[in-house]
Amino acid sequence: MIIYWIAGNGTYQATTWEHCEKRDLISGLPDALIGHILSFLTTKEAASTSVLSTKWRHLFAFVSNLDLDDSIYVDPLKKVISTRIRGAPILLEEYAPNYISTSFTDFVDRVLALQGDSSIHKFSLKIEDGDNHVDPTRVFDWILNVLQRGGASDLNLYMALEMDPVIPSKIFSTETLVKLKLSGTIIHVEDVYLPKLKTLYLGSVNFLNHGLGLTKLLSGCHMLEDLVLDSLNWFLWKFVSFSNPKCVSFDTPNLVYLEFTDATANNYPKVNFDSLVEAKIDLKASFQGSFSQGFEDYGFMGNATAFVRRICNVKIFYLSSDTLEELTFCCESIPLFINLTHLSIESNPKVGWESLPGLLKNSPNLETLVLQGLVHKSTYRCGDVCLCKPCEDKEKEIPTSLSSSPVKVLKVLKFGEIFDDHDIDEQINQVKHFLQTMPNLEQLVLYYDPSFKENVTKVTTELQKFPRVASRKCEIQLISDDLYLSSRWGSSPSLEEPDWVFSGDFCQLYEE
Amino acid sequence: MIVLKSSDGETFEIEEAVALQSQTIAHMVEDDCVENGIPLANVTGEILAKIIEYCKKHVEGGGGSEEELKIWDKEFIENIDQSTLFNLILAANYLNIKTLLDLTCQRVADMIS
Repeated sequence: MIIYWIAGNGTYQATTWEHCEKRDLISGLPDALIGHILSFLTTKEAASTSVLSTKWRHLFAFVSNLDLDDSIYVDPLKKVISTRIRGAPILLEEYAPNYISTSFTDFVDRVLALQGDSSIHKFSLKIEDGDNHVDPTRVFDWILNVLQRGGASDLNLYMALEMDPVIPSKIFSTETLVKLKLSGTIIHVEDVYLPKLKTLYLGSVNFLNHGLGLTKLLSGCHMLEDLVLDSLNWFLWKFVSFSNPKCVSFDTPNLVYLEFTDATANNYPKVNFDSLVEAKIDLKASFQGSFSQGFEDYGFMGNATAFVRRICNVKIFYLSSDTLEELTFCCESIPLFINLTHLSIESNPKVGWESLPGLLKNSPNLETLVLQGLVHKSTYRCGDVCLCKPCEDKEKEIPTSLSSSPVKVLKVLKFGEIFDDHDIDEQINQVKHFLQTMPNLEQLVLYYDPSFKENVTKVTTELQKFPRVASRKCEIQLISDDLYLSSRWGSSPSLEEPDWVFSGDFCQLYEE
Repeated sequence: MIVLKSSDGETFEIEEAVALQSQTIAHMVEDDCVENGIPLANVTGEILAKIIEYCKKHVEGGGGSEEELKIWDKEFIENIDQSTLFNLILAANYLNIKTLLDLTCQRVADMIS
């Protein structure tokens, strides 16, 4: 009987069944299929099969996915390296730490040598320095070797070395790349040609030429759909940065998902977010000032207006507290977020909610609002969103961002989290205010911080004493690690009190 | 409907959507040579039945949620003996059904490691 199969290059191959029967089943499979199977093993396991026989040795070249991680070699606790040959574990001697580190680099050298010239599709390398210094030049030799063999579609480099190395710029002109993840390197952008790149993840990287470098990189990947820029290092420090990019452009018409942490640039000349659906933005203020003048006296650099104006087509939007603050400073008027259905805001006791009324008013299709924490800085400009300081100017138009809000689901995270000057009463009153003002609310969920259990009774008693709510069909839920409490308002108009359902340990706390 | 004929003479009539999960069959359909059924000279009826079972479950939109599919796949792959497994690998490769090929190869890899 003759067996036909399709080899990796798409041609038909044949062998005889009798020829296979003599060996064990795995070895009977065509080479390319064995290689495919080996690519599901960790690289170390796959490499260890290469000692089985000369045939297996050459099969390792078919493994087109390499996953190299030095953690098992550098971890001082794991001084014993074990490997398996024909199923029996063999323990090798304890090595001194230096030897282990060298052995990882030797291992990678050997793996790459075994592979020869065959193309590699997926290459993942994770290196953490520890006490031993890995020579970055060797690391980059490996990367260039992999790139030069052609066919690389997925590249993942995670480096935590003492000194961030400058990554070879050839990576950015590898036209086969579909997915690229870089962490812990310095990026010097020269020519960029990544026509197939769909996913780009940059974490803790440093661009040599700031905003220009990022702009150039993005303009070379027009098909980009997923972009995560996390902790770009223009010397970020807590809420502010000491330097910022002058100019950043996002020429990314196909981008669907964006996660962006950065210092606000001075200018965003070109921003194309035509396809953007979901965005998680953390824009930190950049300030100019000196410590001798004190922290209060500083001038803001950076203007996010152009950026915000173009991001208004998103459906799902997560804003950090820093971004919320930036919105206050940059935008004279908040653009219309016509497609926005899900909005999530991070609260911070040092940041006010001044941008929130404008955001709510300009989101006519908003369905879900998530507040990560209720505690924020009291200001006069919260409008009708909260109760901190009422608007004293009677002539001003009565704010209606909440009372005309279409929001159906309101989720409050970290409910009950206490800060210095704030107590639980403020938060309870805030929740009551939401219930009294929001006419379309169907569900209000409070995620209670379990470390403040003593206040739970107080919260539920207060919640039960509510006067009329704006939305008769609103269900209230209080959720914590070990308790769940929900209420539903009756459909009959004469019923002023809701029916409450309790479950969990709370039943013991509540005395009837 | 598409008719598949195994090497030992069994015929299987299946929906086009189910059959098209095989790239090999998809190309044949494109080239319009499926008039009298598709002969699969090196896939036995037993193996072909298993493959059709898999493809029916994985037809887009019909199989259930991702989680449900994962559980089904796990049960599917754990309940077959070694020789069936290897024959499935060869057949999935010949028929070019990537998801089934990956599932079966992963299973063998798990057995090796």
